[in-house]
Amino acid sequence: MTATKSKTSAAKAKARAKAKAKKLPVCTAKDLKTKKAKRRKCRVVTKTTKPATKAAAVTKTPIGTHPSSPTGPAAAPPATSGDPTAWTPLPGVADQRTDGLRTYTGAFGTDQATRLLFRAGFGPLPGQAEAFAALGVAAAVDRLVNPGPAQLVGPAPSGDFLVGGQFAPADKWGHGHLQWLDRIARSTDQLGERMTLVMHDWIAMSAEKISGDQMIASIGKLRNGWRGSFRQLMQSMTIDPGMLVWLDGLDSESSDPNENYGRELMEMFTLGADRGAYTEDDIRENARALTGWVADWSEARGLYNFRFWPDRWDQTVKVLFGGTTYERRGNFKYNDVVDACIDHPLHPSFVALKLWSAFIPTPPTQQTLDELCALYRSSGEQLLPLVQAILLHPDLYTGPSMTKSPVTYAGGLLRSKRAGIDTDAWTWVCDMMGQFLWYPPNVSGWNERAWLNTTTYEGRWYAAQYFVNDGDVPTYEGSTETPQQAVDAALAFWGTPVLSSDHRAMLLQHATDAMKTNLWSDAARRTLRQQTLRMLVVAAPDFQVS
Amino acid sequence: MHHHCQNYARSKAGFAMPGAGLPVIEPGMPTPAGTGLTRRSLALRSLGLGMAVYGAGAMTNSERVEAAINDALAEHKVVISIFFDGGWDALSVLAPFGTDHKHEANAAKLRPGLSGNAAIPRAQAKVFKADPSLSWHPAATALSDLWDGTDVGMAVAPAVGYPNANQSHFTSRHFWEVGALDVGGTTGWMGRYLDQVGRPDLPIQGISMGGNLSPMQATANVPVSAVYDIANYSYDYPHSWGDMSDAATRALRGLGARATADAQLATARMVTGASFQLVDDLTAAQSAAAPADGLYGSTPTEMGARLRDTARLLDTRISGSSLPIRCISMSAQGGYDTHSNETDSFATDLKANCDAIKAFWQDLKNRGQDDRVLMLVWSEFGRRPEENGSGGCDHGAAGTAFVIGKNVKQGLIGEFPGLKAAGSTDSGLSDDGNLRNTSDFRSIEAAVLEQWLDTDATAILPGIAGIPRAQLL
Repeated sequence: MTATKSKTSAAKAKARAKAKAKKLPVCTAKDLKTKKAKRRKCRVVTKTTKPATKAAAVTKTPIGTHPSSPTGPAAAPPATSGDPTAWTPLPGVADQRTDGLRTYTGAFGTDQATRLLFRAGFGPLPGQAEAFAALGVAAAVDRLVNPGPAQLVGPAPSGDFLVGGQFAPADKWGHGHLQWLDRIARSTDQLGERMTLVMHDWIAMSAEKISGDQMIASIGKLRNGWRGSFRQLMQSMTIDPGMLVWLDGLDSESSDPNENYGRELMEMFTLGADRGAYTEDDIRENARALTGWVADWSEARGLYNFRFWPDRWDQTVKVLFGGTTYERRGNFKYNDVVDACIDHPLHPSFVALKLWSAFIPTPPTQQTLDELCALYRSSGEQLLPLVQAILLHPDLYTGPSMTKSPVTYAGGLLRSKRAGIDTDAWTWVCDMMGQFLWYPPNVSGWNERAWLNTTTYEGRWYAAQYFVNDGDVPTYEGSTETPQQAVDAALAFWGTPVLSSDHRAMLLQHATDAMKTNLWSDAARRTLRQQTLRMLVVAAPDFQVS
Repeated sequence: MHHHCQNYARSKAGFAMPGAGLPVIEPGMPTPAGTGLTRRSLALRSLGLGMAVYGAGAMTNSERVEAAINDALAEHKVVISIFFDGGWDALSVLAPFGTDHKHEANAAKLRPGLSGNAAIPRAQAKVFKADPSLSWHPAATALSDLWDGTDVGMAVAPAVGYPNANQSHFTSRHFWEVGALDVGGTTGWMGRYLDQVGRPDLPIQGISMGGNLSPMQATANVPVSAVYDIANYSYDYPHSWGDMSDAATRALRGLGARATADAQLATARMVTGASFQLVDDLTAAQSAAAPADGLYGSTPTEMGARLRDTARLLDTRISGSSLPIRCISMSAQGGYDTHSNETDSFATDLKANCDAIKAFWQDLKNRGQDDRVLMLVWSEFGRRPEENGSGGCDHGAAGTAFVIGKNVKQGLIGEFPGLKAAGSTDSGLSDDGNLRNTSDFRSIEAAVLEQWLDTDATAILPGIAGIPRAQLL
């Protein structure tokens, strides 16, 4: 992305860097001795050097044990790492069934395969739509669901912005986004990256407020956890250090509970608003149960040693969903309210609709929804069987188009060109398109129903321009290239994607009209025709959807 | 519709789906001849009408074409929405202390930190003249200046909300945006106004400044635009130019104008067309005069730049005519979901916005544009009067909103209900400890439509019939 947009780029980068530099202040030891009502400008609750007696005792409490949980201890979250090559082997799900759910039995050509690859991944590599079409729908979905050990295939990242040839997501602004976009472009586990993005949009956390290390760990939990039990994932995310900071669980104690996480656990993560699933009283009860989490802080390490401290936990009876048939009453802790939300009768439909809407833009029938809900419960609250069933569902293939998200669009271009990340301009370009990874706009994630407007379309134009700018500029001295040949050449530039018939007709019309333009020679016309055709392949409205 | 469908992607269902159902403009329709057209062809082309108006099926006779042109070239009254995202702490914007001390004992109990001198230095806080039991946060002194000055009037709603306040950011914001207590609404109240009075070929009629489409302007039938930066808006083809690039753009716009029943494809096509139409408008805006030196400060804040650009758009002329702008929406800079450490960011963010708003009104006055603009400043709710243990406060109910304009009648919209706990006859708080509302946001939106935009609010705001109107003008 050459100098055309450097001013905006610099301004945006500066603004983002400034936002990143704005660190929330933390409590000093003195603050902690000050009565809470009088200390205002800090948020950390224990000191690093000399823990109070009770704090010292608490550090012995293993993190992640839930003695009062009716379902037993939640397993420790999967180990995570910022190392992009540290991949977890993936479990097979071939034997998981989707009984009762309809599966697509119609024609499965390159059109359908392209749609599947854009919905469940980030678009086909050159030739991949043909390969998937040859598999048939069942085997194609199976390949996405069981990709084998994930590998990064294609050009490694390059450029001055790297640190020692590597991304530095913990330290460098925008590298979390760039590193992820690299995985999107190159990973053989396309569904894994897609689902991690779905989870990032669902359990949305932003690096505006939490550190790079915390983001790496949190996103890692989503990436490793979505294939397991959602109950377990929510237990893990509830006490995730990044989450404790992001939604203020860290600050919350029995005398003055903070409602932030208690509300969003229900509204955004497990039950949904305006469905009659909970009341404002439930949020306050939730908040009381979620009290008790503390951490230490040091200049060198920032926040660390996140742990549950019973003295700060509200040890009284809470009532959840009072007056309903599923009312719960007890001296609940954080893990208990997570279980209560997962056990709630409206939770399965929340999950099923959340996942369905990530892949299909029209609602399911009541029967399909009921079947998905049953599948979710019978599988022990697993997401993967639902995802598999949705990817096999006829509505995905026969229903209307869905707008590609900005990183799907960008990832799709990179994949179509088998290109690597060779510029950090992918930060501001994706931001302009409306999706900067690690920076969802708020706890509700991105608004995926409004990706396109007159500004975000401009961002997509810049993304397309980047490749056309970098491409060869063909010359046509003495050429007799026909309009159709010109269109085919422009399509080949992008790995010969599948296009709508309207889109193909538009390209051919332009290729024909182009030879009537006012230029000095036919050779010049053919050169400029090819340049414009390349833009028209991927900047056309029909290419923004799949 | 099945019950579950109403829940489908609830919190996002109401967001902008601009142009769904947009009237289709056939590509390649001939340009009609007409005496009025030649004269104004430059203006028309620049306004993005061009082929669009000529091609529209309804525009079959020259009188109607002329009417369309006049409409497109008219200088409209404009309403501007400024949204403080996250639920601002209204009790820190207008703080519960002043020369009348009646709230101070309760405030000291409920929010000793947030209303304390460290958070809001009392010596610098100007008393609110309409209610001396309240004072402006020092960071909002610019609003106090606007109140004191004679350039604009300001109507202040110190406890605006609605019955049974919903404390979800997204639901409460949605109510304000759709102009009704309707979780399923898919068009904004400004969007429905634009659908009624706007045109199928003028995306500049509704502008979201900042690059994200405001759900308030979600339309069913007409295009709107999102503007990130009035400069540098262009669509260039690498290594192409002139006639060839123009031909390519025509091809893209032709595809953009094609009809389809596929909803998201229809939106993509509409946005493509609107984007190219916007180029000429924004190019023209760059020839509008720059504001007076230093009006927005030596280095404008994010909000200062946004309002500076807004003023230039309002002052833009193409062949002597204004841009046909009707609605403008934007978010204030900063985030206001201050569950913790409120004082870290609140004053700084508030000041940047209030200073920019004051500068903007001066800018409009300098440009002679101030008499056609009305500004609504709002947030999805006010925060809980009682602070939490994190140096912040949680979601609440009634909040504060402002209506500002040269023609606005200065005064209060409803009273501040006080901070007495529920139980007494004059309690200001409800059973859940939140501020009771003394005005309804719908009464303000209806008043904007009726008193400012001369539009029948009942046709735009469902359920508005029984709600008394605020007196704004």
